[in-house]
Amino acid sequence: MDTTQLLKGVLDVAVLAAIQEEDGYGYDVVRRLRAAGLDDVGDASVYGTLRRLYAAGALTSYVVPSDGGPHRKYYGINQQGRTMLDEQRASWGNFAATMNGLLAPKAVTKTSRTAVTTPTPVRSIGEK
Amino acid sequence: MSTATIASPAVTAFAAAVRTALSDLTGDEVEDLTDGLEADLTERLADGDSTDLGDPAAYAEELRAAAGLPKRAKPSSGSSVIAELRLLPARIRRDARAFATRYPVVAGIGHFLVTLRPLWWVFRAAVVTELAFVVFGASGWAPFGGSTVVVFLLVTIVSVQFGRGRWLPFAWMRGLLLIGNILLIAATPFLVARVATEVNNAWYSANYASSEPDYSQSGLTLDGNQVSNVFAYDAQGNPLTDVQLFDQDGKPLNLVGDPTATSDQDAYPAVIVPNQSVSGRLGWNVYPLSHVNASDLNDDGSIKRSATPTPAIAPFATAKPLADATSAPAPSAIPSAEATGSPTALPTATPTPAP
Repeated sequence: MDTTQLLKGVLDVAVLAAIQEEDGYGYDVVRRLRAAGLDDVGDASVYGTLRRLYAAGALTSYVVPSDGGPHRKYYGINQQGRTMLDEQRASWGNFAATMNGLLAPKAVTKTSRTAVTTPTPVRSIGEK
Repeated sequence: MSTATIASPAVTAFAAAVRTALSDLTGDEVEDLTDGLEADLTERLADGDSTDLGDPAAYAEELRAAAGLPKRAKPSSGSSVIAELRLLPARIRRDARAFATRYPVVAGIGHFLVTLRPLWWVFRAAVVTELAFVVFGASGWAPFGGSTVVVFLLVTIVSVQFGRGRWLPFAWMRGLLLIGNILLIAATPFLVARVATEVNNAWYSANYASSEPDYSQSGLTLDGNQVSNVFAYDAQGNPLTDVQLFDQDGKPLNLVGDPTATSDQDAYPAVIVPNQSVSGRLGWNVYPLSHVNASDLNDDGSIKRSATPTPAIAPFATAKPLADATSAPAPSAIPSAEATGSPTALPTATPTPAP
């Protein structure tokens, strides 16, 4: 499955989660997400998401100058962002449970022992 | 965390290109989207993630989409000239397609011209070959002169491969090819003029250079045939003798420059001789010319004093009188029908005197 398509829907909550403990700048957030296992996440997607969340009022932002180099723009989560994170965490939990239930192997249900031998899963559900 | 480092030129250029791609947004939006971009890019490169930053336009699109901003609607006037030029070929193609859709005739002509593309590939090879020989100062004209054939064939192969889109691994080579094509088209008129001159010279020298003066082409000719005598008749149709003829420039209307060179003395023992009565020059334009026997000529072509030139035989004893010289025009208008002389009496066919 194309995980980049899946990422698009959850990038907001992923970025919020990545900075919930500690403020971070653009590439810093990318690095945290990749360390967490989201290898396919794109730099520009993360930066764009940070800007959008900031514009939506979920993040705070501040610039940290550096000696002889380009400055860094740090992002931190605020109360509105934490509320957003909690909501999205809950909806992701429901969504993930639903998907897990849908995708779980049918063999775990009691009546499915006979269903294993039946040619179609539709009939096994009807027998329940 | 790695420390901040000075942004490399590659990072600076990439960031600038990203900002150019976002130039349709407001300054605040661009600033908001790309603030700190150099630091992020520099760190990404330092991370060894990849040495190539990728396509700035695609990067800008991803940034824009993730930030929830609309896709680029129209190129703004603030974008760079180079970015505009890059879009130009695609824009021309789009406009051409729209035009062809509206006018089917244009589409037909377009397809016809596309079919002729191989001709252009060969032609431009010829132009390049000619250009090379002009630049390197070689004589002769391409593509058919000696070693130029080999060069021409090689250039043709390259040209055709380019035309088929082969042997152009880098995008900038296509741009270079476009510029080259434009220069070739500009140079073509001069090269064609040069080739035409050289071809003309080559043809001329091949046909005329170092050839002996051609007496068969001198003198007076009629429809390509040598005129060997001229007969004049007066208004009443009576034959005239000792008529002096001149051309439009006042030059004597000489039949031949050199009688000995044109007379076939084996077949015709008679030789046309000029009238001897013109003072100061030979009377080649005094018609009709007379004959002498070949044996009456000296070795140098002059006439022996003892010889007596005999008058040439006229084609007609009398010609048809002109209209205003007679009260009643003759029914037939063709002079030869009126001829009363011998039908075989060609002027030089026999040395016998006219009746």
